[in-house]
Amino acid sequence: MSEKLHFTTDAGLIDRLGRELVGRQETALIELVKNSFDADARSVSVTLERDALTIEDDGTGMTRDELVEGFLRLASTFKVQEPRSRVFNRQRAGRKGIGRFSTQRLGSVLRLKTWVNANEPGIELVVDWREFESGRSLDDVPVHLGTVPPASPGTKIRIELLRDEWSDAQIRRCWRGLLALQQPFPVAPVENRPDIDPGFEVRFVRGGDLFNDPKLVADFQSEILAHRHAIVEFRVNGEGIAEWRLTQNQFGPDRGWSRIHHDHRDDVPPPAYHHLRDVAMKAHYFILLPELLPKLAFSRVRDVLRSEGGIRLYRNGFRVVPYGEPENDWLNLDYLYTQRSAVLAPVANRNFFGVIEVNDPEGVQFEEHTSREGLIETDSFRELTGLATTVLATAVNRISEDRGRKQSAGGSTQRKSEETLDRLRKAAQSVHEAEEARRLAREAGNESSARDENLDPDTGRQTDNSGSPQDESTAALIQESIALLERQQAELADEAALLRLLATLGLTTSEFSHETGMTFEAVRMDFAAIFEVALQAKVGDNEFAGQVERADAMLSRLDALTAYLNELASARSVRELSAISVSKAVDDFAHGVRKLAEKAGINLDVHTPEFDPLYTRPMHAAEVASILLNFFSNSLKALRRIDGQRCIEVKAERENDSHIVIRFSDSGDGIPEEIRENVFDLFFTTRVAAQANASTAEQYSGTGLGLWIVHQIVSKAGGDIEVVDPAAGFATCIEVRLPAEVEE
Amino acid sequence: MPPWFLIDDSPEEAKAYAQNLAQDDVLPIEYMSVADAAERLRSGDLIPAGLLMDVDLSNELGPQQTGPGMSQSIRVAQQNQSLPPFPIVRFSLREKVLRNIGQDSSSDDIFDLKIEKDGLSNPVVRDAVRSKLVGVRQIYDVLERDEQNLLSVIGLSEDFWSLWGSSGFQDTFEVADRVHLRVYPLIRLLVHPGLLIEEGLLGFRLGIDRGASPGWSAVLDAVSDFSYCGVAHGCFRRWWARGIEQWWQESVGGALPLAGTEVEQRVELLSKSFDDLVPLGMPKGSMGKRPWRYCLLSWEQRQDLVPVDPARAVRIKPRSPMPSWLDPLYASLGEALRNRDDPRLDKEDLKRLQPYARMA
Repeated sequence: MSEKLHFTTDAGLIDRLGRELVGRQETALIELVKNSFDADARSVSVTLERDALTIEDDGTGMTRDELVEGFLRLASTFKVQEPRSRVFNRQRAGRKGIGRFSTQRLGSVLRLKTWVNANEPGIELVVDWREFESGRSLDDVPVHLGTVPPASPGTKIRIELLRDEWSDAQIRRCWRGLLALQQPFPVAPVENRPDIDPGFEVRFVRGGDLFNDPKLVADFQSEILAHRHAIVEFRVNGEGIAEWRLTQNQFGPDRGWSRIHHDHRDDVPPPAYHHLRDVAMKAHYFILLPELLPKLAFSRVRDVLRSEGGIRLYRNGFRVVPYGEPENDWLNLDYLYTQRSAVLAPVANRNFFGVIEVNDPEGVQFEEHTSREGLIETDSFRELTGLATTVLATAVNRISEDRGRKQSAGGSTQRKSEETLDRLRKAAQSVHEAEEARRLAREAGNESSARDENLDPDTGRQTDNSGSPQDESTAALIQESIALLERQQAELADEAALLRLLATLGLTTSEFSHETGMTFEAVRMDFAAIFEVALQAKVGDNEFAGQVERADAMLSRLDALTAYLNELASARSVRELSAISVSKAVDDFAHGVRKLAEKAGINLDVHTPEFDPLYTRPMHAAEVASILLNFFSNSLKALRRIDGQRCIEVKAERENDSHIVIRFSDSGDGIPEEIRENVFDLFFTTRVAAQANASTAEQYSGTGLGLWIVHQIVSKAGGDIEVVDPAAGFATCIEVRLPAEVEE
Repeated sequence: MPPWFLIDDSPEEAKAYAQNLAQDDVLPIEYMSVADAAERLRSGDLIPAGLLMDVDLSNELGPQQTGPGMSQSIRVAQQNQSLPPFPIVRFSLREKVLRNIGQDSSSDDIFDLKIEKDGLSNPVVRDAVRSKLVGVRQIYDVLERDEQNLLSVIGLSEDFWSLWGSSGFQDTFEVADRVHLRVYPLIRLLVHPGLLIEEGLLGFRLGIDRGASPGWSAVLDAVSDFSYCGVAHGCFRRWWARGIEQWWQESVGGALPLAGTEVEQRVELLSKSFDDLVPLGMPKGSMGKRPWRYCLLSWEQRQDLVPVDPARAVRIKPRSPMPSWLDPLYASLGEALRNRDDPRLDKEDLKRLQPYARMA
């Protein structure tokens, strides 16, 4: 005969499981908050009181079945069956089956209230863990389930009679344990995309008592954002007037609200925006250097910034995707930084947590694509991106200036370098003197004296200072290194001074050209009238007529060149990089210099494809023109040195879809084979230097700077340049290869 | 006759423009400072033949004014009849317009004409500008005499207007209750291609290289019945576009519509009646064989009138809506590709035509 029996469970098992599965109190609390995340909550608040803690979320709540089959049934498979959350498809963060033991680990009494629907009563579960004593059967210990009045969906867990004390440090550790689930941006839904995760935030509050308000212990503000180096903001009012400011600047003074317009950088005040209205931005700026952040916070801040940094866009309280999502560089900040890292403080997405808020309830300014993947690039949107990028870059430049000033207070790099060199010179001198002394001693045959000198005063042992050839080479090596460093330092100083001078010259020329261009048309009209009257007065005077014709032609050439330079000058003022059409640049160049070429008797021949604009990867707009002007200037000199036919040919074409090739040929006196490699070196020239009293322009003409600058431009753009064998009829051909824009 | 005033913040340059653009009896122009103009506007004493208004007036000391702002005040005064009607012409360097106005169309209809200072030293350009200014004044003179009848203003009989005209234009003209409001559509009609076309576009449509064709003048004689004979016709040499198509149908091509034929075919048919005609060659970057419009970008950038075949060209979105009686704007494919960041270009057209560009 057989008897059918069942296992029974001792109620004490619950206590043992709780202690063994959840060892630390922080782990228990973290697990409970993760359950809120799994329940698609957007916000969780953890309040710690003297003897109780409350976890309150706005998640989906639990139905009675879920509570009974999930929470009350040990080792249920309820969650295992659903690895992702229902509403926002979140990867579940909570460990399966730990929640109930966590509540038991934290305190003696659990009061769990949960609501699924705002219009229906909620459920309250009360569990007194003290009743789960050894010796009692688990089935004999009741838990109490009741109803509570309707409330917003969510779950509120209150744990009373806490088993442990909670310090602020422990609370902060809990918050950091939940960092991976949080984002540094306002929690907001995505309009018309209810399935997109709006975000998750956790606040830990130390509960107030009768006389004190609750005190915030840890949230994103205190743990991450508080370590920012500055706050950058802008606002655009209902009239389109944009202002920006820089506050909480850790490196210098704050800058109050001031007007800005990305397209009118010099206007005081700049005009209002045509389309953009009611927009604001606030961005926290961080410089990710260990020396600029607290040791304990550095890696935390860096990691969060790397994964979440950027500027997000919110419209009418809703987040707009994909702006500011990881890998989305909608404001071109990463691009800007990679292009200009040498001269700018960090301005990449990973340096910001920022939010742009657009108030456009009628959808007048911004309209979403029907695919809901971003906004249509309206004029307002373009103005917004232009403004945001300009404000961020401007603020970062100001911070960079402030940091520079601070750094220089401790001694400039130049001075430090001089000091180091001085020390090195002194050390070299000492070594040299010691060697000299030993050499003299050896020569005098006073070996014993030399040995005495080499005795270590502390140990009395002989030091290895025997004046061997090895030592002599050490001194020489140091001297040689010093000489090399001095030479390099001098070269760099020369180069820097030269670049500063060239920059100044460039700016002055650009301004001058601009102002000249403004006046030129009027001047030419006056001269035309004067010539006409003068010619009428001197009818029959052929010499005078020739003079007038010459002056008129010169004026016309000057005008064409000024107009071209003027266009280049305005292109230079645009600092943004963009793909450049080489076809257009070459044709514009030909248009600008054709009259000058004609005057010099040069046959200028230009070949560009009819329908291929030949776009390069992003460059500065004026760079291709600068390259061509430099070549032209060199060709002019080379062509004036020959008696034969003067020809220039410029060909631009695509090569293998990967490069844009410009071949600039002339029939001048050519470049000797042996110096082809050197023509792009700084200061390489075959011309003799100008007189000391020559004009600045003459001083810098033929100094070997032009092709070096061209080389710099081409290299920076990722291309290359070389002197190649010319086609028949030409003596020189310089080939420039620029990376082609990658077609999407 | 009162003079035109050129209101500008750079006196010397303004005087140079005024003096060189003026024609003794027909077009007297004098410089006027911004402050003087503002004072006269306040006192109601601003009664010129017309105003040439610079856009940026910031160089002049005193309260800051702008050309569009001051012009708007004048239009308000003309509307409430505290000032008499007279033309206001925007007169500025291209760069200043781009900088201060850009794509903003809000001041477009304040000005009767928009003239760029750039290129005025070119005698051909200067003469064309003079002609326009004189023509605009003539239109004001005619309409000021309480001339309300559209047909007598544009010099067409009702029958021809119904063939070559537009009811949309008529509505716009007739609904206007002030002189400057009636002048505005009329000047648009004369300046922009649409119901009327000028000689360059006439050449494109007939497929003839005018410069290389000795027989071109004979063609012009043959289409003289279709030329514009309305107010200021001496200043605006134009032809009724639909009239030319009618002439083609009746005298040259028969059932073959002009727009549908290719250049070679157009010239072949014309050569039956006219000698020495050379077919138009489509310039580099302009695709297609049925030229009908011109490339706006080439015109803006180099004052180069380039023919385009609209089927192989890129539409340009106007800053403000264009009435149906004006031709839509186009850019040649080559020019559009080189200026692809120009926000006015129709992106769909660019995409549509990419395959043709690759095949070319």
